[in-house]
Amino acid sequence: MPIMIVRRGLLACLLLIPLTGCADQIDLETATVPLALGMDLDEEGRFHYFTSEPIFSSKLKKTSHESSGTSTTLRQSRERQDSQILGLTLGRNFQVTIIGKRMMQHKGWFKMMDVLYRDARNTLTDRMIMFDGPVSELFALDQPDQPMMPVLLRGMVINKSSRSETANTSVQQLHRQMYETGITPYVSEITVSNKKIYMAGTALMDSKGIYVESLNTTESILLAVLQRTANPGISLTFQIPGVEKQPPFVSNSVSISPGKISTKIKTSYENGKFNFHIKVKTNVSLTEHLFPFDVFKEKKELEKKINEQMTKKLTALVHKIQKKKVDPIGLGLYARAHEYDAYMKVKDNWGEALSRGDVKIEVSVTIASVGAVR
Amino acid sequence: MAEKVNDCIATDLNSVISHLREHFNDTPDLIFREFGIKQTGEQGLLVFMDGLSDKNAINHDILRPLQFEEGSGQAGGKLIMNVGHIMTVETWMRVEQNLLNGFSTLFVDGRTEAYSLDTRGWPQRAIEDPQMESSLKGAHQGFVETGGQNIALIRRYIPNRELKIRKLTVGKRGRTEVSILYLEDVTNKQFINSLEERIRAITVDVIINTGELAEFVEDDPYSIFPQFMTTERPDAAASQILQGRCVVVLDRSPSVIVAPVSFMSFFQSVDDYSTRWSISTFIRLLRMFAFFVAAFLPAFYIAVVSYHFEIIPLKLLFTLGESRGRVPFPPFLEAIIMELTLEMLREAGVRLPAPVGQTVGIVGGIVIGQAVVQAGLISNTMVIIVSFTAIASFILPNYDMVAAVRLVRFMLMVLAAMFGFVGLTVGLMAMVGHLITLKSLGMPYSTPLAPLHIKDWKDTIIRMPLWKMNKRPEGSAPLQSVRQGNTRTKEEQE
Repeated sequence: MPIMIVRRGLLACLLLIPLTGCADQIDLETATVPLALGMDLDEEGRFHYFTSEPIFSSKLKKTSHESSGTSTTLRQSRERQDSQILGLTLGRNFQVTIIGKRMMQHKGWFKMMDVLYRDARNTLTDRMIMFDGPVSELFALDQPDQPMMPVLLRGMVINKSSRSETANTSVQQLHRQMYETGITPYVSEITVSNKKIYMAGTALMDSKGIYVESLNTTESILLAVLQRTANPGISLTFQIPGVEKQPPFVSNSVSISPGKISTKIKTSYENGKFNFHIKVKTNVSLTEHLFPFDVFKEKKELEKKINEQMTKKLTALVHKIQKKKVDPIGLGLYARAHEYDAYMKVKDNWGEALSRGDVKIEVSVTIASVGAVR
Repeated sequence: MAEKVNDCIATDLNSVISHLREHFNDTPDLIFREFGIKQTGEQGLLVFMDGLSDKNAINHDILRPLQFEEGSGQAGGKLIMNVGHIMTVETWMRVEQNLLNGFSTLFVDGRTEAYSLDTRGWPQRAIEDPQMESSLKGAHQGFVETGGQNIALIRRYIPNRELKIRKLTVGKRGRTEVSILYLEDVTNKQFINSLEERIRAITVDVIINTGELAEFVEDDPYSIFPQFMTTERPDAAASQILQGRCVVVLDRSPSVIVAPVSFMSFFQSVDDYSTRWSISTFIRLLRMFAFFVAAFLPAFYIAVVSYHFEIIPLKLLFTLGESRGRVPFPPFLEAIIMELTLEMLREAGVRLPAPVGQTVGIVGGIVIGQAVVQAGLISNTMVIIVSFTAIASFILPNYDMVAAVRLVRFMLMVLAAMFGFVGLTVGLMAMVGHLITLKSLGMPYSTPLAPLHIKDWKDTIIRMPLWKMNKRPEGSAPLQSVRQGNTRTKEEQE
């Protein structure tokens, strides 16, 4: 029996030795866990980093601490960050990563994020946000009537994107969008005006990651419809032409709330051109109409008008995208799946190829419910 | 034992008295009573231990008929007494043993044999509700300190002649009676034989309690997990016998040993079978969950707070960070302090009489719970974790398993503090590996999970309806596997 104990003890030791041990132990209270990471360039083109970390203390009034500085790389910035604070900085709890618009307009900014992907200790679920303005302004903002900036931003992105009003791109997804040729990257966009943070919509980038265009919240919803990511709960408002208005009210408006949206994309390649035929089909409920209209009798007519308006708006969005030679919808994925040879020839310039292609949109809306009042 | 040469009892009453007085010097509770036997006209001597024998029986059933009733009148004739069990003994050794066990011994002048009369009647406790394993719906009779009574309590549940008893004696000085109960046509002989062999191999002075006996005969004495189950419920013991297991009744001990048992049987209780099957299934699952909570929760907390706080949800991070921020100790120390306090409270509560025990509970609950947090010594999250752990460990129905879980918890806490989740995983793997290698009387301890007996799962993690469990558990390899017929399915066919 004692031999068995010795053997077991040896086994236990053998099991324990290869373990890394206490070396990487950091207690929660001694660690500093920045919740937001900001990156931007100043006017002279120097790289700035920003972090915002919570302070775990009920005695201090301010609940967060912001640090910033310049450095050559993100990992190098960690030493600078550590020198300002009590604990050790760890990139384990980032909620949002914010890139300034100026930085995004420079080629090669994505390389600066290398440490986030290479060091597996860093989070990849933090949401990517582009800030329209200098990031320093955002981190200097400290409004007592709002939750902590990182918490607010993360909540904004997650909740707004559930209604498709903005993109929901995590750092991990951005990596895929950057390296996938059939799609161009898109991230959430925010602005600050009057010391208040606003969700502006979606920022579009070209295949190199350079910022090219912004979509407002309505366009973001339509983009989601084309991307087949729109969930029930979104709301669309259209102005019906030919209906009398009673200024100052825009009383020719009608709002619908689609249920499940079926978007079918047909791909073909003819005469050196890609053709996409996108069919959007959905049952909607009427949530608002401000003009007198007998929906029971003339439902078909209203459906037709809504179809027209929605087709028009979707087509306008597609034209905008084509003009900028980007493809946030991911039509390139369809092209690769259905017209592989043709796609492979243009894959490095897919945005260009799409801009020359034809996109036809067909909307078929059925009004399933007209609401609780006549 | 040394005087084997002249072990035969004396025929002369005076030499009997002097022999006994010599051997039992300083034994004032040995009573000698000389009288004339009317039945045969001979001289008689009755010897018994005061306190171990029933005086009523001696007065009414032995002395009265012998002294006052007419008999054959011939010397050496038959003696008529109202005693059920009369043994004829011829050696001093047997006389001594019987005397010490409460038998009275009748010597008759001129006869070469003496008579041991069953007048046993030592101080006894009435049959009461089991203390450790109280149940809501089960029987309210628990085992007592008399082996014979305990066997009777079990026999009441299984009035069948296949219920056999192997009687052994353990202990040089104590000579405790050990009885192995089993069903001859069900229980695998291998278990009974190896149990008997192991019990026979014990050489000790005396065995006081079942726990001691279990420690001498367990398969792996170094393991922290109990490999035999002790119960103080006759209904539980009977149902285990019916499943093809042995029950060891130890005289003078108010609990019995059940063997062989599996790890999963520690999660079962008699109440499971008297409540509706869906509810007892839920309770079983709750116990499994509680086992993991009781073993892993503090360790998990330590690992999260000192290594892996990236997995904490954001809102919880603020709460945790704030409550941790005020505490001067590292998480491991904090957890150890609180866990040790809890263990001390528990031990204090067990040893103290009930009214004082309550005071301990209040002191523990209010002083430790409230004040420690207010003073900023311990975070309130830690208090919640420790109380949750304690509650979870109280859910487990078997005390021995709870004790094992307590030890496992401390080991895991150390591992978690040193290596985080890696340590926890290694700890879990080591525990599972150990459970798989363990055996109870040669039966794999972790059956029916490993080795796999899918059919036994009907009564393992869940409890199927009783009319579905037509076979006895395969794990204990019963000789007769069919337990019952198809009650329900027949009805449906008609």
